[in-house]
Amino acid sequence: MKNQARHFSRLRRAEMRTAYIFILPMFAGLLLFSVIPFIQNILYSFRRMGTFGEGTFIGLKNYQDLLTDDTFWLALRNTAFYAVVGVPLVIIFSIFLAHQINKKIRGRTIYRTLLFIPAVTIPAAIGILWRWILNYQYGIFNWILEKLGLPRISWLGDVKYVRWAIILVVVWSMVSYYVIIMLAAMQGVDSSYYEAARLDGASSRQVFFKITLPMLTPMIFFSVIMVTIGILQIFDFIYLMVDRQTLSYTYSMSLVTYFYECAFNKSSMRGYGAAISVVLAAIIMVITIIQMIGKKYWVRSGE
Amino acid sequence: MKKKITALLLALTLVLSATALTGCGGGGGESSDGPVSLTLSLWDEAQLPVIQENVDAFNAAHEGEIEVTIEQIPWDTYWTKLDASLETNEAPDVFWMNTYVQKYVDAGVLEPLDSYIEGESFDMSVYAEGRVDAYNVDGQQYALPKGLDAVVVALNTELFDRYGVELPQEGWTWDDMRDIASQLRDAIAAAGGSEYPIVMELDAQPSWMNFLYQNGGNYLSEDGKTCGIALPESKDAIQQVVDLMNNEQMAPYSVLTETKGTDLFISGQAAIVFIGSWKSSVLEDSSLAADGKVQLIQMPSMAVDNKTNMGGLGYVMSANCENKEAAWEFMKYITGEEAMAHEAEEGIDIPAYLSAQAGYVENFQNINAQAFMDASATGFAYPSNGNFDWTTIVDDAMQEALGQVKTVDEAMDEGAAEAQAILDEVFG
Repeated sequence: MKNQARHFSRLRRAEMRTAYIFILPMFAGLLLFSVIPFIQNILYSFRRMGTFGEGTFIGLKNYQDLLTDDTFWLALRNTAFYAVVGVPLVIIFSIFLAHQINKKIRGRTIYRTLLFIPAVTIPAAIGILWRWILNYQYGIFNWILEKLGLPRISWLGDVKYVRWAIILVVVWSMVSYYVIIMLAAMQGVDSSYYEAARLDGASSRQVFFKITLPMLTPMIFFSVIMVTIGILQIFDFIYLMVDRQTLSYTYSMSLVTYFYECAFNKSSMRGYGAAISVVLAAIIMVITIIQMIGKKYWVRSGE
Repeated sequence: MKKKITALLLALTLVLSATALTGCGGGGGESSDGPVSLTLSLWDEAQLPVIQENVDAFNAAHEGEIEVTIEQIPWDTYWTKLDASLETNEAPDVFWMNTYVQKYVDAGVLEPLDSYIEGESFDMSVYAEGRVDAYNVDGQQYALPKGLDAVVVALNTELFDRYGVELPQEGWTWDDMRDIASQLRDAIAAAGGSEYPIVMELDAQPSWMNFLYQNGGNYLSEDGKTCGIALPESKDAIQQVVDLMNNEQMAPYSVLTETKGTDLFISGQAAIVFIGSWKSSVLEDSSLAADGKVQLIQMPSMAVDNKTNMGGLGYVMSANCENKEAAWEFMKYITGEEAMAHEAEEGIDIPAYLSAQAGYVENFQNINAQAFMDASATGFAYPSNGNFDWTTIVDDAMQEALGQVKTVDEAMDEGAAEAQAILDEVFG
C-alpha cells in the first residue's frame, strides 16, 4: 500500500486526503449506527439478555424457541400476507396511476401534486389520520358505507378486518412515491417508439402492453425489491393505528412489531428479539437474491 | 462577502456548541463551586407545569446550594431510555417510579432510603399507608410516594334523563347495573339512539383488575407467586363482563378497541363508564361535565365487595447519584406538604401526603371529586411482583376472552398456565 501511495503525485495525495475527510463523517456514522449495531445484534441473538448487563450465552436456544413459538409464526404469516397482497397492489396501482397522469388530461399538474402528497407526509400523521378515517364510531369511511346502505365495519377493532385496514394504508402511502418513479420512467421512454407504433396502427392498449410496460421493467424490478423490503419491515402504521394491548394488535402483528415487543417491552426477551430481527434480515436477503436471479427472465436489460 | 459568511457560520457554530455543552452539563453536578445540580426525570407532560413550579420553589429556597432541572421523557420511551441511562451510569438523580419498582430494586440501581429515614427519624405516616407499602420491597423503603389513584364510576345524567331511567344509588350491585343497562339498552333502541349503556377501558387498572378481586378472585396471590386468573371466581367475573357485551348492555369489544371508553363517555356516547382518577381533569374539562351532566359514584359490588385497586407514583433516587444528601432533601420537599398541596390545588394528582389531600376536592367545580377520595380510602395496592413477562401474557389472555376469540375458560386456563410457568421459573 505504502509503495503504491508514493506513485501518486503530491497534489493527488492531497486531493485524496480531502476526499477521505469528506467521506469520514458518513463512514463513521454508518459504522457507529449501522455496522456495529448489526453485528452486535447478531451476537445478542445467541444470548439470554435481561434488562441490564450482557446476559448469558445460550447458543442457538433463541432460534430453537422461535420454531415452536406460535406468536412468531403468526407474525411471520402476517408479514407474508402483507407482502404477498401489498407488493402487487403497490406496483399495479403505481403503474396504473402513473399511466393516467402521463396522459394529456386537464388538471394534470393538480393530480400529480395530489398524488405526491402522501409521499411527503410523515408516517405518524398518516397513521393517526387513517385511524380516524377508519374509526367505527366517527370515521368518514364508515359514514360513507352507511350512506350507501352498507353496514358499518370496525376496521381496526375487528380481528377479521384489521390486517386489510393495515394493507389499505400501507398501499395508499407507498403508491404515492412509486407513482413518481414510474412516471419518470415512462417519460424516459424514447418517443420514437411510440411514433413508430402509431404509424403501424397500434391501439393504445397494444402500445401500453408492448412498449410502455416492457420499457418499464428495470424500474418495476427496482420497485418490487424496494417495496418488498419496505413491507417486510412494516411497523410504523401498525404501531400507530392499533392500540398495543388490544387483540387487533396481536392479530395484525408483523415480525418487526413482535421484535419490538420482545426487545423493548419484555425485560427478559431482548436476545430473543435480536434473533427475530436476524431471521427477518435473512428472509429479506434470501428473497432479494431470488429476485436478482429471476431478474434475467423478465427484466429488459440495456438499451 | 464570502469571508463574512464564513465568519458568521463559525460564530453560529460556536454559539450552538456552547449551548449544547451547557445543555448536557445538567447530569453531572461536578462543578466545584457552583450549586449542586440534580436532574429529575418524569413522563407526564400534563403534570409538568405544576411540578416545574414546585421545583422552582425548591430551587429558590436553596439558591446557590441545589439546582434541580427537570427532564420530561414521554411515557412511550421513558422506561427504555431509563434502562439505557442506568446501564451507562448516566441516569437521572431522582426519577418517577410506579409498580415497576421491584424490577429496579432487583437490578440494584435504586438507593435504599431506610438510612435516610432513620437518620433523621423522618415520619413516614404522613403518607397514605398503602402507597408507602407499595414501595417497600423486602423491608426496605425505596420511594417517597407522590400520589395515589382510585377508580370510580361516572354517569352521564343527561342520557339517564333522556331515556327515563333512574340513576343508581351508592351501594349498588352488578345486578342493579345489569338491570339499569337493560332499561337503557331498550330505551335507546326504541328511540333509535346510538349510545351504549356501559363502556370501559380495556386495560387492567380501571376495569377487569377490579372485577377479579371484587368477585373474590385474584390476579396475583398475596405472596406474589401465583397467578389467580383461572380461579372460578376470576373466570366468573370476566364471564360477567363478556355477558354484558353479548347482551348489548356494554359496547362491543371492537368498538372499545378503536375508541377508548372514556372518550366515548365524554363525547356523550355512553351512560356509564368505569373511570380512574387520573382522568379527573379530562372529565372536569369536558363540556359534558361543564354542563353539569356528570355524576360520580362508587363502583357496584360484585360477589365480595366494590373495593378498587390503588396505584400511584413515587420518587426514587438513583444508586449512582453523586449528591445523595441533596437528592434526599429534594425528594422530601417534592413529596412534602407544600408541594403536594400545590399539586392538589391544581388537581393533577391526589396527594399521598394525607394532610395535603383536602385541596384536591375543592379544585373541581364540575364533578364531585370526593368520590375519588372515598374510593381511595378503601383501595388496595395494585398487585405486582415486579416481573412483567407474565403480566403481558395475562393481558393477552384477558383480551382474548373479552374479544371472544376464545371462551373465558380457555383463555384463562391457557393464560394462567403460561403465566404460572414464568412465575415458577422466576420465583420458584
